[in-house]
Amino acid sequence: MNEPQTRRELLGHAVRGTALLGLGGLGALLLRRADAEGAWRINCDLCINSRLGAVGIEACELCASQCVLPLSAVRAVNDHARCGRCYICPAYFDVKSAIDERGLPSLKLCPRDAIERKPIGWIDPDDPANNYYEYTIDEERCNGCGKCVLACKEPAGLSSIRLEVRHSLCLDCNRCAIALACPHAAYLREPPRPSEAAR
Amino acid sequence: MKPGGPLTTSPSPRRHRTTLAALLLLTLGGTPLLAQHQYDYHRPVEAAPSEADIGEGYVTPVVQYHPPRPQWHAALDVGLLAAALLIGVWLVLKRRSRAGLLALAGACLIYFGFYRQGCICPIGAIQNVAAALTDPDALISYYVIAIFLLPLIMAVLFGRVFCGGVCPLGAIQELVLLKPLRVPNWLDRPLRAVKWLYLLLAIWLATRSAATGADSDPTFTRDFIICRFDPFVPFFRFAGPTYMLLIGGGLLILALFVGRPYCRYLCPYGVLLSLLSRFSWRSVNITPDKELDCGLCADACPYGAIKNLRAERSTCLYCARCFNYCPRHRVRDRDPQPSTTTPSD
Amino acid sequence: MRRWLLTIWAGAVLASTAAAENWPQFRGPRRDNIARATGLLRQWPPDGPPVRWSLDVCQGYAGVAIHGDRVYFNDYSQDDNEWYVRCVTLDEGREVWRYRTTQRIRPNHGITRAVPAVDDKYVFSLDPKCVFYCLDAQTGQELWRKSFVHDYGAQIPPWYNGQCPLIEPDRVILAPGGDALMVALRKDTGDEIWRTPNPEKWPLSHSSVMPAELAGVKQYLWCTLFGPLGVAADDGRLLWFHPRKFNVAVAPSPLPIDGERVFMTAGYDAGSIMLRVSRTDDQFTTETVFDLGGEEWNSEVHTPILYQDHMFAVGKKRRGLFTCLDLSGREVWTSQNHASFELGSFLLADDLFFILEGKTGVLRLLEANTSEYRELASAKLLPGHDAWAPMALSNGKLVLRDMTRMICIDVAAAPAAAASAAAATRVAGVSFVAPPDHRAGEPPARPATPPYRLVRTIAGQGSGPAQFAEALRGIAVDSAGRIHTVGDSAVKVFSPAGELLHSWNTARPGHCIAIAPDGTIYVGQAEQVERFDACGNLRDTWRDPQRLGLITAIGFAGDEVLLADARARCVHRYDQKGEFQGDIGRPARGRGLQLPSGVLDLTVDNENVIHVTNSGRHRVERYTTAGELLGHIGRFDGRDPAGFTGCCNPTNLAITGAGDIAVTVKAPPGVKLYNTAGQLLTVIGPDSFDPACKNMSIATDNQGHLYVVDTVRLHICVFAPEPAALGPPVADAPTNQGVQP
Repeated sequence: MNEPQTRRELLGHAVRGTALLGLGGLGALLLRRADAEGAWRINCDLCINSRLGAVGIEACELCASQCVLPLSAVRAVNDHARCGRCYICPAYFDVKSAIDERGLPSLKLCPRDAIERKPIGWIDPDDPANNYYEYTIDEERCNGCGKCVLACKEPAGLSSIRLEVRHSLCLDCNRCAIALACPHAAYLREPPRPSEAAR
Repeated sequence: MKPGGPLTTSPSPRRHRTTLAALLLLTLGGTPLLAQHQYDYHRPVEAAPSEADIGEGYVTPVVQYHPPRPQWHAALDVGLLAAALLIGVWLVLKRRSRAGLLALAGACLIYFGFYRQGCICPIGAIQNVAAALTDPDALISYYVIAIFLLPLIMAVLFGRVFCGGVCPLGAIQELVLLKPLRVPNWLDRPLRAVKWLYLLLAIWLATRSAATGADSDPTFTRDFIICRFDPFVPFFRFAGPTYMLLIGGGLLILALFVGRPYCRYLCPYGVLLSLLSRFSWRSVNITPDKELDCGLCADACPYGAIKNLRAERSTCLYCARCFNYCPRHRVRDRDPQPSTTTPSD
Repeated sequence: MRRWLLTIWAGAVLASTAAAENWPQFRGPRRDNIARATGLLRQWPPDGPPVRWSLDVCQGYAGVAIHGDRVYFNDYSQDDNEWYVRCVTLDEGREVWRYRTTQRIRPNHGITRAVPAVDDKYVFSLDPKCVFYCLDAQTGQELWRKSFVHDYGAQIPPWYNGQCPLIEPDRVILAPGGDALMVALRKDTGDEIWRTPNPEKWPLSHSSVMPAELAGVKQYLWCTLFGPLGVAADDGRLLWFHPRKFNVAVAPSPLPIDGERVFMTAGYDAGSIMLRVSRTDDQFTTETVFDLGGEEWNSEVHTPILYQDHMFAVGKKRRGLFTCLDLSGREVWTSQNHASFELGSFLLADDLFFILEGKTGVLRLLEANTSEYRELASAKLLPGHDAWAPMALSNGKLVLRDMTRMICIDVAAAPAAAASAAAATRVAGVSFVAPPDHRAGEPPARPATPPYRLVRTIAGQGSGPAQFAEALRGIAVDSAGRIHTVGDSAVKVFSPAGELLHSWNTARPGHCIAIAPDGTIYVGQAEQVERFDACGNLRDTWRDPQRLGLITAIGFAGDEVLLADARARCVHRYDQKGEFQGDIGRPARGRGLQLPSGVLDLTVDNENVIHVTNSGRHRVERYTTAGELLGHIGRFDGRDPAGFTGCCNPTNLAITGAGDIAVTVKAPPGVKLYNTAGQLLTVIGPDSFDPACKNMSIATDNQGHLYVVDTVRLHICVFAPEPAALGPPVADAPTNQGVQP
């Protein structure tokens, strides 16, 4: 009576051992491609709002509209070191709107009024149009629609505004709706850039 | 005749535990291998005014930076998953407590379901694994590998403990089950095959090439359909496409009467678990000590997992309902000491 | 089709159109950006057309005006906060005069912008802050000035003034905005002849005034943010105004097409418009012929060129395609799939288009035709970005620039008659800016430089009296040929044959040594300089921990002692008593000398011009004793042997008796000899030195020898030119004796 049981047990052990080995092998295979910090990121070289050469187009707002969250996890951010600090910022102002008495456009571009403009540095009273202004995007209001990103693109601006994913807000969906909707494959799961990793 | 069925519950020797620990370490350790993806997002900064030109001691502010989610979140999830699996094993195989299992299922539903909003789960991880194996550019995180492998390893050893106490999708269906109807065999068999089709379709779509932008247009681009058609994640998030809310709602209503329809007929991970648990080392033993063959447990299982008065390992979902149907259980409850005398028959 | 008749008014310029037409103002003599040159090259040599000269200019987009053999342009010095109008020669780029005025202008996408307008007598220029100057064309003296802000109540536009003045035979036309839409001023006194009032207070933007004859009436066209307008030429009354909104800034100018149509394009999504101006009796009416929106076509910065009834300009789409448009606004061809030009400028001459790529500085030569893009040649002559400034062509020479460098190239088939007899050759990074009395231009004819041969080595590593233990840093040779060396904490003097004559100790490790004309020996150290007499007795010590960092070279100019301080990165001037006189090479902004090598070397030539090694910028710079930068030789170039490589080269230098500049380089170590024009004469290769050598001091004597310090083996290599080798090689010379230049 014991023998068939032993043989069955042995078979069972063998199968289980094989299964475990197989799983371990699968695990090892996967580890070779593993990355601990992959998260959804926007590649600004591909994003149509940032990419040079595409002009005369409307801003691509998929980052704002496709996210499953009510307020998208994507935000625009202004890289101050690259910003021209211009008096008339094409991303802050809607340059097509009528000009007011100061020579500035009367309307703002951001539909949610998320950009703050403040004068900085030494203000030359004789030359108001050539003083410097700092433009900061309020993350509470911005929804990542990308209008300012497109407007800041060269040659009108210096392309200092870009779209970024806020990982504290992003759900990190396995199937990101924005990534699937992006027509230029600019929204990818990537490890952080070295400059980010250094912080 | 020696008491006990073909499989008796005996305390596991230490080496099995260490093997388990070693496997866990294997999946969680390893040095990071960062992929060489560098973006050349580079614009000339000379055109921007310098701080000296702006004057008045202006200092360029550092750009708002938000760090990626800290890794310990994901590590904690993996740890909690492992802990929940082990607790599930202990609750069902050792303590044999339905109440305990319900509590575990509830806790996992709250944590993995509503708090972590059901993502990332082992079911969806099938797609990540499939993509990572076939696409050299696809990345997979360590934690996803662990989440994918841990329940499978437990299935090899102990059976579908994941389904019973840990999976939030299963838990939500488990908790709404009121009056289980038995699904006749002629319906049950083909429906179970649907899981297979779903699994194969999901793997196939996950291994397609990812969308590469407007220039190329493959007929089928990579799509994670398991995530897309996940019926219960919209409930966890309290948001989602209308059609998925309807499907999820429909499944939940069905789950009032039919036990865990998603798990039995649709879950692709269940295919893998059922395959691997077929040879599990330990499994649910309906009777605590000796087999009576009385047949009182036959109606116990809402999932049709009791065949020939034994729990069928590949279908048993570790719900721990059957224990209370067994007369030996009530005897044991009344009489705390395990019986050592052999009944005459 | 009737061509628009601008030529009637370009008066004086037409008189000399034959072979050497001037480029006296923005967009040329007829303000159409077309040069009536002939005989221009249709093929370029592989390296591009020869570069006659190049100058460093301040960041900006200020093009040049050319009159005769003089080139006029605006410039600025960020270190001194001075705005300049400079006049240099067309042939050599040699400075004739420089008008300067103090103005603090902060960069806002560059600083300088406008092109001056010149004739025989006057130079008219607008500075970025809208001040208008009239200067004497020969001397650069200011004759009169007007300020748009103070005299007309205008506001300086964002990104400063971009308008270029328009000159007529007797007047100059400006559009100040503010109180006056347009004014005509007398050239000699600046008195107003007429002004057009500006009741709506349309603001000043960047557009320039364009002359045209529309509906039979001579007028001046201008464009504001509210639309283009026309003003009568004789009395300045506003003839017509076409309301059309433009955004932010209007940089191009209106383009008159024929006697009735005007094309206006602008940036910031403003699109383009073609309008027709017609007249009944005295009433002018305008109507839109077509209006292209921002998504269709526009030119951001430059006004199109009208040629064979088509318009040519660089558009905005696809990073700037050069486009041929017909007069209905339809694109006939573009440079798509061939090149994109960002915002680069362009010019038409001899049925050829010269177009600059704004981002890269590549100059392309196209055949001018209305059917297809046909590129004939291209060359990369400018280093880099923002090559947007308008070009100018005169007498077969094209002057172009990018953000920081201006060059003049020969584009005619035969080199135009120039002052210099020698054919212009491509010279590596030479700047010829100098006051008139400085020797510049072509080097005198001389025989080929002979290669150098190692004749002996002196000193070496060791603990003996004639050897150095740890370091050997400085070297100087006196008039008798005695070699003074400093290293460790001692000075050791050797005879020309290499025998130790005497030695003495120094208080601190010496980094350099120099012998004054009166025989005093100066040893430069950290924070101090010690002075010894010829026998080695300490005379005094100049100590100044506040000012002196690490003295790595010492030179003498006139009565002054020059201390090269590697830590302060400048040269200190002291008098003989040790009183501090000033600094050279230390601008207010902290730019100037970049010394990653940690060593600053200097030497003074026979004309008291101070040569210093600016190793971080890969060049040798020349300064006057007053601290004015005269020019430099050398540039970073990995392929050209005349260039320098690595992070910081050359590190040290000396000047030979013949006036050539010998520099030492590192990684791999070597010595290179240049003439004052920057041409490489000979090279002493790395085989003579330990490969790890760096910052090798070098000295020369009056017999043409070169003394180079090997900083690893701690000996001095003595090189002599081949035919004049001094004696046989010494027996204990290093094994790699066969030195080849």
